[in-house]
Amino acid sequence: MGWTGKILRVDLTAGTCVSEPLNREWAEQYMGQRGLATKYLMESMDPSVDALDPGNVLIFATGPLTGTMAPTAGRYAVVTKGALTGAIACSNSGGKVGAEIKIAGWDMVIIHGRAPKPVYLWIADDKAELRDAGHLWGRSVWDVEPTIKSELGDPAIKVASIGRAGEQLVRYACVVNELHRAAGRSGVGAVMGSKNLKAVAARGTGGVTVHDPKAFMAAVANAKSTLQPHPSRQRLMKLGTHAMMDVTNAHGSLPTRNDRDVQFEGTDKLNVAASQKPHGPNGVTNLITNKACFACTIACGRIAQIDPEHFSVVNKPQYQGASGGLEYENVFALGAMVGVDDIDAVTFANFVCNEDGMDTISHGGSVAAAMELYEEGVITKKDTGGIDLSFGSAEGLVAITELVAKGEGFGAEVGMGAKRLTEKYGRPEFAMVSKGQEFAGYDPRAMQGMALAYATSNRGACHLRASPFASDFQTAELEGKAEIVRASQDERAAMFDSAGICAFIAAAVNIDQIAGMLDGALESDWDADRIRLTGERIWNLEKLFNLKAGLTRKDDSLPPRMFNEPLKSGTAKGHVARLDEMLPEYYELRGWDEEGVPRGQTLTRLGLQ
Amino acid sequence: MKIPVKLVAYLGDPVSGIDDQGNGVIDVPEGTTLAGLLARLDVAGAELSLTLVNDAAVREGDQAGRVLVDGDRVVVFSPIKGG
Repeated sequence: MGWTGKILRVDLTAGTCVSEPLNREWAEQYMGQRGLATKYLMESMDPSVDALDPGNVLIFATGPLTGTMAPTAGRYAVVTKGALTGAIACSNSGGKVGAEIKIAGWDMVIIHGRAPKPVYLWIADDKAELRDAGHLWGRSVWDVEPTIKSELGDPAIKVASIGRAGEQLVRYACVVNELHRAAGRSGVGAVMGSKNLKAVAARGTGGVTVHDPKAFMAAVANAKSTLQPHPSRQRLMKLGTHAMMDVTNAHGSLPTRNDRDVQFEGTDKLNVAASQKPHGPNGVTNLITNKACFACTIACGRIAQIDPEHFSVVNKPQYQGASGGLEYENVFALGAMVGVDDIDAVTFANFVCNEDGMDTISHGGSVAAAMELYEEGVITKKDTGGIDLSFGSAEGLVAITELVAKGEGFGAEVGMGAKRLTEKYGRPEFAMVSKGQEFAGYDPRAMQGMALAYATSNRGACHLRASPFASDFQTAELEGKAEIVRASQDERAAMFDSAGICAFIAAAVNIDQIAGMLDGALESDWDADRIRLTGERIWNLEKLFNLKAGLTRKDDSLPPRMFNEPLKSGTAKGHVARLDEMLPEYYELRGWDEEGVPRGQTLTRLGLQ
Repeated sequence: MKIPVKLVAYLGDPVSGIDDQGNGVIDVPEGTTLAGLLARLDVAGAELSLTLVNDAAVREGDQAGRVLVDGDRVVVFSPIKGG
């Protein structure tokens, strides 16, 4: 209960789709989604294989609450070895396809091998088959989704697919569902492309049963009773995550021009206020409305439009309508990080990232690295194919984004990601990455907890693997930060990423309330302590995957800029990242040795020996 | 003493002296603390996560001890999710 009890095992090489029973023992230990998929991944592949090798395994995983009436219960994860990082990858997405897979009767889809020619997976309730995708190859997400729905004759089908970026093995290609929701990080779309798998389409007419419907509904009602009136829900609905831009800009933690600066003078042209007022000669307002995922009462998603006369969309009608709009991470990455203050150009770059399946954070970070190479004279227009890649060039952002999406020209180099790009040109210090993954929208020098969170994140630099925000906005003092990072890593790993619900209910719904929903949905007993222990088990299992993949303590680090270049402005002016002062304490709190390897007794305590 | 104030991402009840963009100048007596200003604005306890005085963060526990002086600028943020 809470589970369908079925796993779909797909062998692309052999062309087979086989049902197998869910391993209930593993589900008890790893809950679901991120945790359970990581366990299946560890048991299904050698972590040392290349991420783009057919031996890599790609898992679409739901959680026990996915597809239920729990608030925000539409989440799924794509778990694999990341093409960008070579580390464990777990990219989480909302929308509706995750719930559809579950409602069709599958807890998880585990994909092996490589198809000899492009295919897509079609799941219709308990039937699954691989279908030819030759006619879909070379086409964008925006094209593929309606085509699949049309050829299968059902507009209610939900589709997760890769665009041209995934086909071209852009290292930060993502998986996109419902046109503009994305399992974005770590290059999971490139892994899918390497397998010649264009899409997963699902249609379910069943449902998800829970163990104790009365207790479950009471727990859901309880969660909704605190979520509904909570100011954080109101803010996310009315302002979206986009509102963070004013905060980080004022605080001085907004990565700007490849982290050369942390406050962006163009913020007033890109922030929520700018998105809500008419601009340009046609008086177009960027923000049109908001949008919710499955079972969500927050609706933080933004739907936006571009001035039809803006240079980026002239003679390009596919970009002249409404589509996925500006949220904090994309407006930081495609705006401040590259120094661009043109809201239409930023929105265009975001549209293209959705259309062809590219992670906006990593794309912005990679373009920013290219811009620094250009500013420093390491590359010129001869290298870029004539594109001006100066910081702040809206034309440059638009042009290079289109090229990366198609894998053409200098775009193919930017599409390698900041780490590989800067290494190629002999300036690896220009890559703002950890474990090869580009920073999110928080400069680690201004937020010391985030410095530790980026460095220790198993999937590479990430703002969603820990929650040091409140502490970091209050103080730069290090006391307590290692424990805040450790504890929040464990909690988030389990109660959001493995349960099947969204992290954005965190301010309004506490861990006890989430435990109540899990307890009602599942046969075994769940409470807050079990969630935390499960999260710790998941975190350590991911660490074991990374160790087997060849990562070491040196990968728990940050670029030299974070240690050598003090901030020039903001509340943390003069600060550098003090990672070395926090990392030993963090390892000790985790029960790991000085090299960041889990000690035997830690693994025994967690049942990982 | 007039203190320029900016409320960022505040969605609560309208605050006297603050316009709909969150900007205003608040007249307070000499010796007013940051905590006193927040109380005067009636936003104290309204889930605030960060306050800046002249671009420097002031922790919640230090707000009562931070005496404002003429020329100070105050920014008050509501907690925001930025994923």
